[in-house]
Amino acid sequence: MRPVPERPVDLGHDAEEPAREELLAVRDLRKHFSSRRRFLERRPDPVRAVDGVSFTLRRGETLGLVGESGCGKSTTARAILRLVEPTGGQIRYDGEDVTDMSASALRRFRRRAQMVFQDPEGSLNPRMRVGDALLEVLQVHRLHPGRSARRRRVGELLELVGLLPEHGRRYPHQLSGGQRQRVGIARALSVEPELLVLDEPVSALDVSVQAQILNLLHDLQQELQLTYLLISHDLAVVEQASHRVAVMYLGRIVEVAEAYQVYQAAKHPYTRALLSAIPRIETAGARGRKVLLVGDTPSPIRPPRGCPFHPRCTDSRKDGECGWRVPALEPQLDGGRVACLKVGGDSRSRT
Amino acid sequence: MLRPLGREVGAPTSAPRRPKRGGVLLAILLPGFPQFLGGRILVGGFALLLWASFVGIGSIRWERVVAAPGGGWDERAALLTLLCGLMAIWTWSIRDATLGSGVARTDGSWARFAREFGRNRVASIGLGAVGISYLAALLAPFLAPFDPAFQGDLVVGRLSAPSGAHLLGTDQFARDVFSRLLYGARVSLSIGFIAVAISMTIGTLVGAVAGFLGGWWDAAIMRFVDMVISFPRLVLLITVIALFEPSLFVLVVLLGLTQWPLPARIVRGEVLSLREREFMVAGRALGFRAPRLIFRHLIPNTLAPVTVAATLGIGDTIILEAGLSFLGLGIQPPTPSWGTMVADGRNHLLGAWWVTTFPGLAIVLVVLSFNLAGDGLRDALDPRLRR
Amino acid sequence: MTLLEVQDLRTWFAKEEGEVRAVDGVSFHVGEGEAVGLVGESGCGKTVTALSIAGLVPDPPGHIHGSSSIRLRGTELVGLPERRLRRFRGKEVAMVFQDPMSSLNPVRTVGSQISEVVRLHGRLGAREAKRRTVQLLREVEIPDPDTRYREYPHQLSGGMRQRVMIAMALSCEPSLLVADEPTTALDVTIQAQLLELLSGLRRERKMGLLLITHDLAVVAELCDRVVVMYAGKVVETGRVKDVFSQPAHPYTRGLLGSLPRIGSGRRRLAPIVGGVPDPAGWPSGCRFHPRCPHAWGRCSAELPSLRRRGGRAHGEEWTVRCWLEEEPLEPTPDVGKGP
Repeated sequence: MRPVPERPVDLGHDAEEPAREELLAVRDLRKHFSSRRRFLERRPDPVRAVDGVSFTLRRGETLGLVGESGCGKSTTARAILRLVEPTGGQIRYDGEDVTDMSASALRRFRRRAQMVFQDPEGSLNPRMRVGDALLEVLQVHRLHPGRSARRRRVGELLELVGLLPEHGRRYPHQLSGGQRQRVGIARALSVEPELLVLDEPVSALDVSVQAQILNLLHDLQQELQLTYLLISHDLAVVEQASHRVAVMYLGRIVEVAEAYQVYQAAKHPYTRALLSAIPRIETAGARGRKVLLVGDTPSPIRPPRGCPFHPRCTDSRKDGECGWRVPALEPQLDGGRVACLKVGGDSRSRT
Repeated sequence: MLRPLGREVGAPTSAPRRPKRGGVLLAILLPGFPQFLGGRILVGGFALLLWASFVGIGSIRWERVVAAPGGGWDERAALLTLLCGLMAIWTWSIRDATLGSGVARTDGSWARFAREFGRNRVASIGLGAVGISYLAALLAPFLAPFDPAFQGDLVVGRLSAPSGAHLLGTDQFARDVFSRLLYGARVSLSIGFIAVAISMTIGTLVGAVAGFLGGWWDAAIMRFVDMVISFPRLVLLITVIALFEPSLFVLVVLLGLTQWPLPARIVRGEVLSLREREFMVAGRALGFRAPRLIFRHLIPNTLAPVTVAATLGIGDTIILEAGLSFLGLGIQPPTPSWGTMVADGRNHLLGAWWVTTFPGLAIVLVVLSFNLAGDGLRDALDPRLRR
Repeated sequence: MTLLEVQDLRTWFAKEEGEVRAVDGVSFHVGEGEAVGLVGESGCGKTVTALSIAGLVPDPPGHIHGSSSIRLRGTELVGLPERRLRRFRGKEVAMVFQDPMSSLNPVRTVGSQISEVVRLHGRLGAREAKRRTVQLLREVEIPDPDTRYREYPHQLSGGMRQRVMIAMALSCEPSLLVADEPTTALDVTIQAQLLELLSGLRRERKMGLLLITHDLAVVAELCDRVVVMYAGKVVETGRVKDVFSQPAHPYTRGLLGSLPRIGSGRRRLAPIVGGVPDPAGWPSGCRFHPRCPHAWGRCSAELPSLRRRGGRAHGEEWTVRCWLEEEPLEPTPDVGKGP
């Protein structure tokens, strides 16, 4: 494996890092959920959970995918691992097309890309001791042949995520939330994957435990040269963990850039609104300077025409283009991409 | 080397082991079942099967042994073998359930369930009554003062009232009602148990497959289930039995084959909700194949409602069997069965109430016990389901 | 003047595992028109505290100790007969919960549910009650209140439902609003709207607010003072500005260090080790000692008392429950503090 240079504890925004190899490329990914047609009724409109998402993920980096509930971030994650069948678009993993993999190719792929789930309680079989759950994965994939070798490996995996081998004898309900999430991570790591899709890995946990898990993920990434796709609704969590950040709204990516660019100089009005909406410790006592969005997120069944954000946008041209033209994700001078007609692309003038 | 920060400190160390009386009791009644519940399907299932074959099929075969004249020592030897086998399974099951593997067991879902069940006094009594009737059935050759087919003096001993010699009196052929009741318990209980085992197995498989596959398969399978349910069971049974020679085997198989739609529906409902749980998605993400997902992950999690349905189902089956026997379509004389006994005595109801009353009472008590135990099981399992 | 005065509140639950001391000697107060944030992680007893104040602790298994005292404008609520308590609940104290869907009747329109409360407390006629309800809906900034009046809970979005709950709480013009994780289930943009609304309403109505949340940042935005709870006890109280900028208790410091923050870039956090203890058996001595980086001999043996921070000019209301505070030592390097 490629050696990873020793990094300082505060990773900052290491801009001079060498260009990384592309591991995952998603192009125009779509997932529409159509509800079943009922007798003598018109077929209902499909839910456009993911509606044309494109991004790339480079080896060894963390891409944070943020957005509010219903924006399609979790569906994107599941579609990438083919846990839901994409309606359209292309997913290339290390040069291979994931979308038309055969069952056996898919099984090989799942040794390379794994998932950690939000609900550490629900993602473990309640009737299985956690050690057995890890053992099962090793058996299925014929890793570390031999009973004692596998048992040893289960112990190692548990230690890797900061648990004791004794924890393997417990049932999920006998563990705390943080411990369960560690087991979930250990299980994902048991097949020695390169990519981990982290679907809200800490949102069900207490603040202090959340920080432990985030640090663990941080350390594991360096130790095992993992690539992360981190899905979260929490912008602070995403900033803390990500190299690059993609912001989703109503099934589309509206902005993707290096993390520091997003957090310090967000270009898309939605990203700006989102950032200003987050309550902050530092502003104790001094409220104000908020960009308050009006109204609720529209339904993904009938997304607004034109820019999906325009009805809530504070500086949209109500009369103009925003109402009918869908903005493309245009590259910016600083390397990010933004889907906004007002921001425009590289060649156009910016406001 | 990696030093993951934040090792869990203060994690509870192994709690002192406490003996769990309820767990032991259930391990005696259903050896292997705790292990089965604990997710060790193979080991637990094997023990259960072994135990079921000893108790169930063993007691069916026993009828033949008993039917043959001059049982005597053979009978006792056979019984001893049976008991030894049972003791072996029991010892293993109880030891495994109590000492098994320390930490995990002391607060396992099983132990919590047993505690919950033990607190329900009515249900515990029901379970105890069920256990006693099983034991009585098993030990019938020892407990019964007479051979169930033995006819006394037809002139003097006919329809004699309960007395010291005949605890529950005699019937119109001067046979001891108490002895027949004990042997009848073997028939009724083993029919109930085996028929329900058949129906639960089929029902669980069908329901799990339908729920797991979903879509078109689910619709097709469940419509078939609806069809089977909509057919009156008693009419179906009477028709089919009329086609065959009524025998224990036919009865058991038919009762089993007509009851599975109910557990199939229950299991399918459970599976539909379990399928959306993240551990199933995680299983797919980890590359598990469908059979593993169904047998290792889905079915063990549906066991709770299936157990409840099975317990209640045994009661239903016993009633149905008694009804069929009453109609003369079930167990054929001279084999004693509670249903036949009630039928036999109904002509003498006014003169000799005991011939009908005691087997009738036995049916009521056993079925009631099963229902109480079933309700208790449901209550004990429910909080965990709601969680 | 103090609006709410909680003294030595002990709410225990009789559970199978034994006595669960969910709230074990909690004291704090909320001034007239003041916003106080009650923060802590799950299982620290903050919700039980709220329920105790609202008189909604299920008894049995719960029980508020006789020595506890909850005074609202001088009236003792502990031990008050149910009938008089009911008058206080709603009239003086109103509650808003995390999940509005479970607090609303799904088969009745939101308007009829609010006007029912309005009529009950205000002794108003049907027409007057409706007018008042629409006005309340307008006050919580629900667009098109006349239409919304006739809608069912499921027709509203999560944010709108929470606004309905707030409207219902306001209907009797309470002097204290107890909000238990009011924005936890909502998206950030919606949360921002609601926080804005709450802070506006509080100012206009000069209403006291007790905000219960696990989110320190929400407290920072909305509250004047903060009460930090851990394991059924208050560990630190003070003005939000003071406590969040120079946390004194190691737990508060740890919480703040655990928090990922906007604008701090990609970095490791400084979490507290271990997990939240089980309420069925709190640790001995200072309940934080097993996780505390500064714990020393005395910490595991004796429980420190809640002391005013001595000798420092940080407002008179800054109290801390820590042995390091009792015997001022050289301050240890701030392990838990973010940059």
